[in-house]
Amino acid sequence: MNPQPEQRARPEPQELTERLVALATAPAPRSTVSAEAAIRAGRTRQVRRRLAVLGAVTAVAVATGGVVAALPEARHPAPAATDTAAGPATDPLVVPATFGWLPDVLEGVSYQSGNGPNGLGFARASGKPVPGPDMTREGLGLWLQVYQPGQVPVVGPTSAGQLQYQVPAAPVNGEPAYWLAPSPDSPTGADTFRWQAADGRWVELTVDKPEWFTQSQHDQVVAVLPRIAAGVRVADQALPLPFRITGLSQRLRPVQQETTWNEHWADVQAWRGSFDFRVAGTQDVIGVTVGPEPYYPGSDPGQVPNSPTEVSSCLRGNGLRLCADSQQGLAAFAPVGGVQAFLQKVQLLGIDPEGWTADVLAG
Amino acid sequence: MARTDRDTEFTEFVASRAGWLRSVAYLLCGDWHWADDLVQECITKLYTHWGRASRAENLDGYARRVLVNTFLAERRSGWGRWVARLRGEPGPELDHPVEPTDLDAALDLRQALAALPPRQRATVVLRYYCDLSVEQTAEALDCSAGNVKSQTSRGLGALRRQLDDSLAVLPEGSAG
Repeated sequence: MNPQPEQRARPEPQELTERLVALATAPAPRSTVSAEAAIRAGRTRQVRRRLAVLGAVTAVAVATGGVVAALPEARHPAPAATDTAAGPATDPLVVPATFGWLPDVLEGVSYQSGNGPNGLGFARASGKPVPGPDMTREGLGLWLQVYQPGQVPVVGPTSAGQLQYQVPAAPVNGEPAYWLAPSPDSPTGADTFRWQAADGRWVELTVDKPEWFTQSQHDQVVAVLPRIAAGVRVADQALPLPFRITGLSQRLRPVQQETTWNEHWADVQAWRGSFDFRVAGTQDVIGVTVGPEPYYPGSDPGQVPNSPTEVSSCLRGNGLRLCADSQQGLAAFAPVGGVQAFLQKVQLLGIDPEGWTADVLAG
Repeated sequence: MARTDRDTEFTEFVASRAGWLRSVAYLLCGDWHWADDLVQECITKLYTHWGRASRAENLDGYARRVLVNTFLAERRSGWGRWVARLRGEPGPELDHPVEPTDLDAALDLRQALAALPPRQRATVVLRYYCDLSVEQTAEALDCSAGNVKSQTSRGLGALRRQLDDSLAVLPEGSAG
């Protein structure tokens, strides 16, 4: 028996402050904090802030990744996705998997293209938000992620140090599956389910419960994870979007590695999407944000930017509002003929997903 | 990007305070990479509101409040919790090797802090690391002094249980 860990687990009295200081000053990875990046992002945010009228929109940049779009569908959240094939991409929202069947408790679905924090694709189904402490509103979350080809997910402790074990489960569509559970003998207490897709990639579903939710609500979703897994379609798919940009396919490239992650869970019907396009031959990026008019993005197209380097403009139609901006300012729009010329090439396709397109950069 | 006086002033502030903010962020979230994200988001918010922030009587306190609110907001959001969860899986790449005994001791407290609800954790960090009074903590968290006291009491109780019932701290109210 090694006495050292036992001694460490019994800190001397009155030492909380000293131990906090010791923890905060322990060796750490190099910091990635950048004042320059904050200035760039801050300038962009100042533009976007002036677009918002409802004041209920929160944009939180939390990681490098892809593009997030919260889609309004509840039970059939993947409207006629198109499998990607060889050739130039025209859709900024290409995802590795889409939800199929979902229980009634999950009402909204969002997808993100590009890579998440661990290089994984992302999707989230969310439950009806309910009030919590501090005037917050949140619902159950169900995360879907697809591992890279050849990547085997790790079975290890949680970030909080809780041990997890691989507990075998019935195959999903004939492929191996297992629970990630706190006990090696039973799936009881598990909140993560993994299985291997037909193409060999591992796929994972995890239930995420707000702190004030009861365990039973969490368990109801966990119980049907195998059924949800069976309905997940694993394939790289271009999700239809509610707008089309014509005549600029040679000038713009969908960006799938730079991100704006958007949060808007106060109302799952209040969806929105944020998409970036790089201007060919430059490092400039044009951002497009779109959503139903009553919700987001609210804007006054006549608003004047604070400085000549900030620019934004919006378009309304068919129940949608779309705003374009660039932190590089007016110069970013020059190769596409300017802001107004850019917006004239945008067609808004309405709020019914049946009318949306995966051929976003058309012609 | 053209540098302005505002940018210069902001950059100097970040250069002098980023390390301190990062330490506070790490105690709040328990993950250095997430701490970087929290500080990055915090200073971006500060830049966005720099006109007001730079005139604040206590800019450090203003920045700390923005940081704590950013942390609490991300904990409330699904994306933020998920990113934290994922980031807890890989081990950090450290600049210097760490003695196992130090690492174990640090992990004890880190895990005990991680087990606290976010507002309790924020309360403990503000009071016992940032050395704020009950009233100052209440202002930072935008809640009542009574709420701070109850959150502190519960947080310390949970820490004691997590750390084998032997972590003694000053009685409630004496740190103010």
